Amino acid sequence: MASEQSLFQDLVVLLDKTIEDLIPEEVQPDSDLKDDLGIDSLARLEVVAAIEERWGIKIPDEDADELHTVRQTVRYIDQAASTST
Amino acid sequence: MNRSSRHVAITGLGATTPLGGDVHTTWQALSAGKTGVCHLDLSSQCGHTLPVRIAAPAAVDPATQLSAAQVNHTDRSAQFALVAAREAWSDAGHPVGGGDAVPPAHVAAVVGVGIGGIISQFQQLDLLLRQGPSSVNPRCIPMILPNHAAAQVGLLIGAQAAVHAPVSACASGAEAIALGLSLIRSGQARVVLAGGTDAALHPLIVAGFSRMRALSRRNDEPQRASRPFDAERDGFVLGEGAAMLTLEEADHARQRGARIYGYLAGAGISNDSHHVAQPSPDGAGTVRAVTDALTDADLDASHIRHINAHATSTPVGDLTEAQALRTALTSATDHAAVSATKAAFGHTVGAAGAIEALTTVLALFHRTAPPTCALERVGPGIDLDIVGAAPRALPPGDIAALSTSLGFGGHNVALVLRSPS
Repeated sequence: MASEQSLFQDLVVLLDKTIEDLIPEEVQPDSDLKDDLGIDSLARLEVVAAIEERWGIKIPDEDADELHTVRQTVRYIDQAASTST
Repeated sequence: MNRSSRHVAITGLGATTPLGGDVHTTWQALSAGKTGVCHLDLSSQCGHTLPVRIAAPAAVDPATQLSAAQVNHTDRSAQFALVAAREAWSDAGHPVGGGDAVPPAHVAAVVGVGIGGIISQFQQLDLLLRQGPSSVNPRCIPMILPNHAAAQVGLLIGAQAAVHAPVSACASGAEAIALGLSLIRSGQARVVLAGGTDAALHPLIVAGFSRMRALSRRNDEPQRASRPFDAERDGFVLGEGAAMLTLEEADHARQRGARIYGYLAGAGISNDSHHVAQPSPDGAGTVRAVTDALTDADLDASHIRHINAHATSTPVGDLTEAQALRTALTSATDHAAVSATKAAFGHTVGAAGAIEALTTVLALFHRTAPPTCALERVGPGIDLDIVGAAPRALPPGDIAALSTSLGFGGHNVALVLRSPS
């Protein structure tokens, strides 16, 4: 199981590839996906799809709707990835 | 303000073509008589041997010039448009992605496509068939709409006056520039980024054009395959790329001290209404577009000293166009140096009219008609003064040039460009 820190770094790389105009240095664990990083509803779908592909997990819509911050997303990936392996 | 009092200057150029990833590289290669046509076999993508295994791919992959996120959000056709738009916009001295040198409410973008986001369509269809609906990119629809490239360019430059995506097959790029002219004359916009793009090097497109017998089959001699107006021409070579022109109300350009490459003096648009793919045998629609463009520019045929012809290298199309040009310009045709640059670029479909308009602007700016690189012997019935393998000097003074673009569906577009004063 990856550490939370390395998952965070992997997620920042993924966000940088997925979101236009994102400044990776500005991404913090408590960054709000929408308010701080400008991830709109369409971009959120892309991020979820990219996470699913990257970590080989499935994120149901109702779970995705509850992910508001980077930290929540990292923890979700951590749990889901460890459950699926 | 009537339309004649709003002259339209060209203040920025951008291109990514089979000859180069920018305007300078493209012009240098074109002037040197190089061709972008090469061996390119897409057969492995469809599991069958394609009858045509040559093409004119872009010299630089646009994905290497954009961020990973931009690439993920866009079809290759829009990627070309973005690269060309960025160059044309900054070349004109306008800041890309910030700053308001021109209020966004006065800025428009017009980007034509002939085929559009076909590569993304097939990629997404493949994902759907193999992995199911949840694997389809959430941006699939914007990526395959015909206005995809126009919308992306509009976002890039903050165009709030208008964003349009004219679709008129191989005339789309020229029609976009004609529409840009109208937007400035009408006062709807002061600055317009206008051009065309296409990225359709896909086996279905090759197979489809092959079935129409439209493509050259000179698979063993790619560099001699695209030979507009030549006696041995046997079809066109498919290319890809984009070009964009920054059009600007001339007074606005002068007030801000912008460099002016030349002027877009007039445009003519017509339709043959004859056949879905064949040109009208008498070329009447093309004649009308050319004469209308001259009238619109308030010039007579004697001002035209250079022509960049549509000339794709098909046996029928080139002959009909050559005859139409002579009918429209009469004896003034004798004083016009004709270049057919698809010899070098191949046929870039929706980008062609824009690449050729850009090339025409540069020809006037540098006073050099570019070569028709593969021309060996002018075909029968083609009574034009065609620039061959070497570039030719254009006369000094106030001269004008014509760029023609024709498309499946009977589209005819003629643009009249004027040298910088």
